[in-house]
Amino acid sequence: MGAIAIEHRVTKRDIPLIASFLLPGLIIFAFVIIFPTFLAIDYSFYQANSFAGDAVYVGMQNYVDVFLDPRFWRDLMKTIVYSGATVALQMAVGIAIALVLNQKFAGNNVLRGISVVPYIIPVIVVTIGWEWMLDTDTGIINHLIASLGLGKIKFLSTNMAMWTSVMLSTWTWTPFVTLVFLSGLQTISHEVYESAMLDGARKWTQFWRITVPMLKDIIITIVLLRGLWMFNKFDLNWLLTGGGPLEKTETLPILIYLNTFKQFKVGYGSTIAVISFFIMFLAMLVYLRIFRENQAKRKYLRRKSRNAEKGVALE
Amino acid sequence: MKKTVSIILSVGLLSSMLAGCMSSGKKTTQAAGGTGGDASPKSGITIRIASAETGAEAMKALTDAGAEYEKKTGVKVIAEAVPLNDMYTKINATYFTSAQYNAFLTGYIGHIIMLQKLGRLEPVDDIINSLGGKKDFYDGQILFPIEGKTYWIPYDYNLAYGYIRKDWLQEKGLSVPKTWDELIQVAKAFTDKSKNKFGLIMPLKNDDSTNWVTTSLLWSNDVHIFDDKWNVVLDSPQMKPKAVEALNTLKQLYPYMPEKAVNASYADLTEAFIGDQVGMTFYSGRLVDLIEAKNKNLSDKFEVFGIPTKDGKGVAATLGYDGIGILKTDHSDETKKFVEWFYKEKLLSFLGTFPVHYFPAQKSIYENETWRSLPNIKKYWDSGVKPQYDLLKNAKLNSIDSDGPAADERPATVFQSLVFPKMFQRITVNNEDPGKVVDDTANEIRSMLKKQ
Repeated sequence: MGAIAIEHRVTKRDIPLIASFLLPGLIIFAFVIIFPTFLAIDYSFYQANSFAGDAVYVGMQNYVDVFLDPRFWRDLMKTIVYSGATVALQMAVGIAIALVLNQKFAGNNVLRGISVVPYIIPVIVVTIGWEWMLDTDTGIINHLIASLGLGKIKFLSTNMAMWTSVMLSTWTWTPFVTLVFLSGLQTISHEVYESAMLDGARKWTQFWRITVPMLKDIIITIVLLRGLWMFNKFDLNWLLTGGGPLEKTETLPILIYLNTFKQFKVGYGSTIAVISFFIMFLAMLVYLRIFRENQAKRKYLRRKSRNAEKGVALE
Repeated sequence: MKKTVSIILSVGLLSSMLAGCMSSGKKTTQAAGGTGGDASPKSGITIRIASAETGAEAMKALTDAGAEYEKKTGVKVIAEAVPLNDMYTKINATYFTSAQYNAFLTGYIGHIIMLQKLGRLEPVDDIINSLGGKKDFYDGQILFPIEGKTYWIPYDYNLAYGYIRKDWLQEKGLSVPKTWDELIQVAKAFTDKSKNKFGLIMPLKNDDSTNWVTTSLLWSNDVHIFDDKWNVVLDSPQMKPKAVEALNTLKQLYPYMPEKAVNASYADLTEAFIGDQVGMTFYSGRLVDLIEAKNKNLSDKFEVFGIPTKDGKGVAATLGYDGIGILKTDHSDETKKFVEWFYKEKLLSFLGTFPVHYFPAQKSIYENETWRSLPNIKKYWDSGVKPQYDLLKNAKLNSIDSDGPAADERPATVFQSLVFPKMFQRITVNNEDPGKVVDDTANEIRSMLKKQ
């Protein structure tokens, strides 16, 4: 039935239906995404000290200033490190949890529910809660560490703040990976694993030879989405450290906020935002390229194996 | 059939969405009193006020005052909580739209300076005169006139000064520090890390709390950022040694602070003191109101002190204040009438929501018996209220945003840039050489002002 529905040809009579479905979303998209994006691009060519005052057209000067600003490059590197580390950890931990939750055991449903909790707690609560727990002098984590006879860890010091932020980000957003990967796992037939087991494949081999290839598209999608979200992540870092100490956790979103809303350098802040947008846009294009190549390769392999089967039959 | 139902539902959803947008827009038009509509049954005028005093008690006082004013005059008054950091952006983003504000409460003089520069503020000298004139506002100390005109009406002082535990002092056989050496000595004596007890807490976080509180050490040594001609003099031969001395003192105090000082903001300053973790903290009168609300055991165990000067010949505090500005709108006159009425009739109730914190900006209120009979004012007169008055009269008062010869955008830019929190972090967390840090900070300030 589904295949029939997909293959249904769109006729002129369907246009009102399609338009009525698309319009609400498109209007919201235009107001919330397209308009602010163009506004930011427009602002990036001006020296503006507020959103409403007189702005002076400066052409590409803001871009020159940003590219010559060492703070921009330093914060870009921090953003790449932060988003790279958080995505890698979220993937590793999220997939591991999904694999466990995909097994049948007592209390599985309860565990599935619990695993989503970090994702649904508001970020402000996560931040304040963890800040208390990680406090060097009074936090429960350091009390536990001290009770083991180990030295206290200064989680928000210059050396540790970025990694603490990575850790909290991993804790908070891993459930998204778990949920999506778990739903993907449930689409793989048990028969595939059973026949692999009959062939003597161990769990590890099954994971690399069956699960990963079959869920490759899902994995790529999660990596892309999480990568974009973490690259843009502002709330947790801002609430936890305000970009400090000594700008050690100052990522691009924080730099944009400080310039635009703290110092009211609207043009300069918008320029960084536009550059940031194009970096992500580029990442998306690369992803789509990889995705399409993968799809083309798979199609080619399928066709090849079908032909081979036919050839065998002919023989 | 299914298709028809789907189309009807989708079109319905779309039209209700658009209708919602339109009707809400219309409502806001009325609420702003900008271009028409009849929001109020009597006069059709609605005044929107953005309040940086976002606490429930202050908002209730404003809302109640608005309701009473509407009953009296027919003019509707709507108060909205807007965090201080969002105030300037929200005012500008809504200006000339159907959702514009008519007045706003702010704690940052930079907002007034920047909005005046954009020509968006009404002068309020007439209201100041009707409230007792410049003289009643402590000779106009925080009126910050711009080109001879006043653009805000202050309602309180929030000085940043010290609080110390008297019982801890007694236990150690010490007295309230009068010099920097004594300050360090007391901080050291209070500290027992094994028992989670620390000498003091000063905020070092990359935010406004550090701009406000921790700079008090600089002011206590007569440090200034600008001279009378707006030159940056922080690293001048006269100023640099003073700044370095103050920073060295901060460096010496740092080991006696809990680790969270690095990331501490306003709430941490009060929590650490109320929760018995530190023997000294630095804040406004709000701490007294919080002690009364959260830990009455401390109500007779603290003493207020000004930040001592190096040699003990005086004290300092960071200047802080709040006030109301009136925006140029179609209803400026009505707004001014409301604000004047509010100051004359309702300010006492408003100040009463956090009485010790909202130290009156008018001397006549300080002397007003009704105000003096507010429970917290009465209870903490000697320990928390009178000392604020003494600091106001006798302490060296300065702040980043009010440094320089007049109210101006330059100190506001320095405040917003957070260069001072960075300077303090480099000295304490990174243990850098104060001389180099002062040079770098002065150069950073020059460079940012040049780009303006």
